[in-house]
Amino acid sequence: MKNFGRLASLFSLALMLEGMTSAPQVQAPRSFATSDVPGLFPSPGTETLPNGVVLASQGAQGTADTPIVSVNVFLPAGAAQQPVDRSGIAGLTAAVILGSRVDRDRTLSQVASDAGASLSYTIDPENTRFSIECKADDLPHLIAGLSSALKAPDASALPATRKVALQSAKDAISDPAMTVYAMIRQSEFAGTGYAKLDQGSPTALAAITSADVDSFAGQYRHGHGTVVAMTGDVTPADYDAIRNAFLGFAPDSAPRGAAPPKLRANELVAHRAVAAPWVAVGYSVPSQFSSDFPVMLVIEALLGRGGDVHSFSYGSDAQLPEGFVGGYYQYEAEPGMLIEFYNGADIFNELRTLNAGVSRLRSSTLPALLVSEAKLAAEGTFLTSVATLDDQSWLLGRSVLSPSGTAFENELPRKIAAVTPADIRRVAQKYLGTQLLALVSPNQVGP
Amino acid sequence: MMDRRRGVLAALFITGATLSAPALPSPALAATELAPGETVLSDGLTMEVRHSPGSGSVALEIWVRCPANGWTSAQPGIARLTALAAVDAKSGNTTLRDTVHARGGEVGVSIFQTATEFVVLSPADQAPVLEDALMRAVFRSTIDSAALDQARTRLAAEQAISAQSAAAVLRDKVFATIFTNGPLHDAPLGDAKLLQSASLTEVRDFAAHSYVPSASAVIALGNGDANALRAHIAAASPSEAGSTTLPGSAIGSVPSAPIALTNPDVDGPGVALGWAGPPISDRRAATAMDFLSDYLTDPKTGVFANAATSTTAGASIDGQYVTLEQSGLFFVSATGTGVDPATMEKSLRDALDQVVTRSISRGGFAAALSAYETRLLRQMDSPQGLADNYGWYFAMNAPSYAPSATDVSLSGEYFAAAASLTPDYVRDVAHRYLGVAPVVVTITPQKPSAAMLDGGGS
Repeated sequence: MKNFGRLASLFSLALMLEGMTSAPQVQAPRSFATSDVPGLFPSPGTETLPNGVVLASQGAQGTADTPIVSVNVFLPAGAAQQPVDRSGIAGLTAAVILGSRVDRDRTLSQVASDAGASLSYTIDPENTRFSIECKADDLPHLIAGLSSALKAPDASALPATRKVALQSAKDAISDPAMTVYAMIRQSEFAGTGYAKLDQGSPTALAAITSADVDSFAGQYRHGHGTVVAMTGDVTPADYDAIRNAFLGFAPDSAPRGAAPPKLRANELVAHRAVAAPWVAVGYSVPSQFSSDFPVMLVIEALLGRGGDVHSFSYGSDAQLPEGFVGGYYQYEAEPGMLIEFYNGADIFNELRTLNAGVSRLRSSTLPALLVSEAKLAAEGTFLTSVATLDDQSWLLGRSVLSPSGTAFENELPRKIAAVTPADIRRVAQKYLGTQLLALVSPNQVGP
Repeated sequence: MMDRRRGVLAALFITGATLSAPALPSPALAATELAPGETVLSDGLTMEVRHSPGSGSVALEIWVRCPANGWTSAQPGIARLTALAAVDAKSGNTTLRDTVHARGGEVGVSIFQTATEFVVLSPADQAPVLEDALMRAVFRSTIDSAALDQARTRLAAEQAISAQSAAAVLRDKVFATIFTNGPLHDAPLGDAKLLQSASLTEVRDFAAHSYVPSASAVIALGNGDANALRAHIAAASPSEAGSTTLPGSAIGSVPSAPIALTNPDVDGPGVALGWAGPPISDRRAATAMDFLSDYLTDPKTGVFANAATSTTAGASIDGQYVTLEQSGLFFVSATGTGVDPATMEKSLRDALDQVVTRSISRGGFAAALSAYETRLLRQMDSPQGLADNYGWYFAMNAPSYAPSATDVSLSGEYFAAAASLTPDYVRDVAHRYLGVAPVVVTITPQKPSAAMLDGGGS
């Protein structure tokens, strides 16, 4: 999901603590269709190839209003699938794919730029995702190039991509918000490939060889777990090109990362040259395919959103979320993480307010009106996050990967609407009892 | 191409805003050829409502043709201050910003020299309610001192950020040099002086004078109920058309020497080149300039981008042809650590010479034209992208020429003009408009010298 930056808290915790003080008002009911009507998002067509690759196409074949097509390719090797001593290899491998020569001396990335297209990668917790947006006529050529690079990553691209990756890793280390985020990740996912930032550690990046890249790319090429989602003007030629490109994947499943240990109550401190302290408070919460996910989205709205799920994502087009404050719900990880970021001189008062608010969520049943307002905001945030063609194909791919299949995207708003005050208390009790606090302290010589 | 870049309540918005009789479609009031699907209501309000499936949102926009520096060109930034205040003004017990955020939407304003844009990104099912709220905030604004104070704070922050951007400072100076007066002369953000001087009365007067139906377009685009949205817009439209005439901006002579700016706060050194271009009425030439803009300034493949990074590794290119109702403006800037303005100027001009004097090969031209179309279409791959595009071309008084007024087969005026381009015609246009001496502005991140303070620099 992609949004504008969100910094303001919707429902102040002070309000939560004091109960509803504003006059009762009538909420406009949601107008989502009932279960016998398809819903807001068009129903996709899907096909499962013999090797397990799922192709999903939405809103195409005559319904498009632009000659542009968007494709998101979800490959079953993400940050969590990295060897623990090779953090950063997911990003490095994806970058090598984009830097592979596929058209005489032109790299895949250059071929896309030459066509005016976008071709990028994002490292998700459980996937590497390649996104393409181009004219429908150009897609077969670009998909053929991507397929070629996936089969044989071009080792000659490694030095240049490593240099860029090292700089990204160094930039992340010097950013206080990234530092507290890294501390939460390290503690919650210790012993797994997801423990380190997606940028990787400079030491590990320096040690990665082309054989490591080939090995990680090998994890891409498994049919089961691979999803190709298409939106926009998907022509028959486009569809056939995609089908042919992924028929060669192995008819089995990719190995998955080990389950992370339970979150330990902990406080971590680091020191950086920052003007004011930076704090992150993390909770281990439900992931996107949990039945508690809709309830957690409402709790997120109650606590006040800060950024979308990809705010800290690493990828070819990603930038550091400099100066990040507010809430961040990483629901693509397993388990999910809810992290509240604070900085400035008043952080300890804000932490007290957060703790009092969380305590209220866990110990009492919120007024129905307050819950109704939070649901309205949570549903709206979900809907407005699906704006571009790329958003649509990303959401379609996520739906295909979900246990409820392609109905996921239309079911989610209804499930949010069905959340009750009792649900919120139950889920808060289940997930918000243990917190991890990470602090970056200023003006000291740090580790 | 166009110039670019949380809570409670409800009952309040279900009522109200419908006190006057609904405005009716009245095509006869249309002064210019409209884009397909556009309507002009009886009060002069232009309306574009288009259903676009797939997304979860509806982009609700109001574009107003008005000068960013005030109706007497004496208040640079008044349009932005007023628009920000309108978003934070209380109607009943809430503001547009809070109403939108409570429903999970987003609200923003963009100010251009001759237009103000209000945008609400609404959850699809909340679009009618938020459309009412947006129209009330703009056409029945209730700006008070609290809203103005908030607007001052926001604008001050925006001005501070912009002042640190070498690219933004260079761009503003290019505009100020090519256009000697009127709205195009001044930066849309204005300056700190306005924050001190603008009174509540002046801001209210600006809103009353500017936010009138005859100068405005309401655009609703996305996965919403188009008929319901049309009905809400018609019902909420004011009955008084209002009347405004935008001041003009004269084109000045090109200074014989580069204009040297020094500023210790900017993020790096840089140089900008600028030229006046064809008006939007010259459709084919304006489209050729759009193509050239993409061909020259695209950050990955552009001729200027290649020249800039060859000269200084890591240099950033920012450039665009800004299509305007009168003469347009082409500008390009190269900024970044290590950029030597004089060396970079020469590199950019040498690179341009190749394009001005020689036609692009037929094969290369076809590929470049297709790539340009693709990049343009990608800018419009969302409800807001499409709505922004409709709005800009309304503001430039050329709605039927909007690239957004197209479909899967690339129908419409704009893409027809693009398809008519040839290598020789593009070279001719490049020669005519970019083959002349440009305005050159340089900037270095240092304190002005005594000589400059005495008048040696700008």
